[in-house]
Amino acid sequence: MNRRTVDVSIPLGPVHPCFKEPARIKCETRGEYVLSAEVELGYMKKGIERIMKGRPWQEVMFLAERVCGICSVIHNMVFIEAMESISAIEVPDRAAMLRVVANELDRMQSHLLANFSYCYTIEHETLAMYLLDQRETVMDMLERLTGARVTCAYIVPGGVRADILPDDMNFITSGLRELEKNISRYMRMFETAPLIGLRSRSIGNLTLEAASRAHAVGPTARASGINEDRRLFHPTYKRLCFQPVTRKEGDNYARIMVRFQEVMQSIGIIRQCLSGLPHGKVRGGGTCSAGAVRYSGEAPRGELTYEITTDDAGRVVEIAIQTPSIMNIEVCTHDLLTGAESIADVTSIFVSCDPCIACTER
Amino acid sequence: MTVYIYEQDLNPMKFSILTCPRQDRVVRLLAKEYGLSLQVMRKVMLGKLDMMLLENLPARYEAWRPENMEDDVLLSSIKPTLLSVAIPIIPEREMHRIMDNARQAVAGGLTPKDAAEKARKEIREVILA
Repeated sequence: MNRRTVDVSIPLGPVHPCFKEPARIKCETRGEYVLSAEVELGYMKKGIERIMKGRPWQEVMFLAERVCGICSVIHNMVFIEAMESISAIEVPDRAAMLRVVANELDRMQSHLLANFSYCYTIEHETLAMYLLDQRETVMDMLERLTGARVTCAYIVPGGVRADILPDDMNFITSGLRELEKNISRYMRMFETAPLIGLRSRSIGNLTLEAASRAHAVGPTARASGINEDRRLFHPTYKRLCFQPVTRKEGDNYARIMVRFQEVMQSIGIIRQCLSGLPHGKVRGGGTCSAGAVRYSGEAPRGELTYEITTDDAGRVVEIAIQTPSIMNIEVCTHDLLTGAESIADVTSIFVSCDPCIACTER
Repeated sequence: MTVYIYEQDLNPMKFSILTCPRQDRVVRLLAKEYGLSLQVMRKVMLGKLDMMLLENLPARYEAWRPENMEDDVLLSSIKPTLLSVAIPIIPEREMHRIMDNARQAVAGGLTPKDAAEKARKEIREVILA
């Protein structure tokens, strides 16, 4: 172990009021300057990939959405679409659109929670609570569509579990109207508040090169000018003429603003889906068979990849999950926290990358 | 990093990460590429990379873009940025030194293939040092 002269070595966490989940950041400082940082994991390892092995897809589908409680819908969607890709199962148009609605609602609640955490971390509790209130509205919509708030198990091979009822569609449409009005207001608050600007602008600058090198994904990468989004390759999103939101600043402010803009974009996507919802069945059926695939989807935090091998009975023989937080926490630790101008910014920089430890440790 | 006497040994957790299917695939590829045994490569990575780098190993390997390698036999066989930038187990200055030595050897009359082999030997020495 090399010996170096440092002023103070500061461990943050594993239990910290600003973190949603346990992780430990070890920072070495000289004065206010952060010389180096390291994130330690291991406080909530589930070993879920190992639990999944050897189980039939009917069980793994429920395990997949338990990888992460915040973005459970996308884990469900990517796993099921991977199984469909292995078994060449077709999805009815109506079900494909409803999947997008569920996925975008999930993205909205995840982004609102991430921005709540950030505002709470920089001690703007008023805006934080406003955002958490809006998240509840989105959670209600998700519950009306899928029947559950967190582990919905809405997406099944060949379609979705249940059709949307006219009442629920009206509930979602009117909820979106209210949400759009409120989020626009909160975005303006975030953009114009001088104290938020002091804590966010030019803090935690992530360059395009560093983001590319560590394969940063999602809003963290798009806030640094990387125009990458797995939704660009998804057949249903292609039909909706989806274009990703990007910014060039690469700082805390840009990462939060990208999420706000994506919430507004999701509102538009859901409206587009609901207004053009085709008639027909929502479950086409199909049988899961043997094969291997690597399948990616765009989670709220970025690219989520499942590598699956199945046998003839649809049992999962091999599975590996690469979650977006792995890449984002890594780039945050080595390119943002290391070299941060002030130790006081460590928590806000870390939270601005929307780290999910449950996803990272799986 | 500073060592706290009350902290637990992180190596078992790091080893669990390193033996996950995707990480294992990358470690095997790198060990084969640079002529090291799997056990040695694992030990080096456990020592030189922190937990997040180990978790992100497959993504960093996939994101690594070989630059101008088609035109340069030395670059394409040594792949210097792979071990110094993408998966940082060798300091960049050391890798520059190795590359400079290889280029000088080629200028001195050695074939690029032999110079690359010599450079890979130097890389192994630096990794194991």
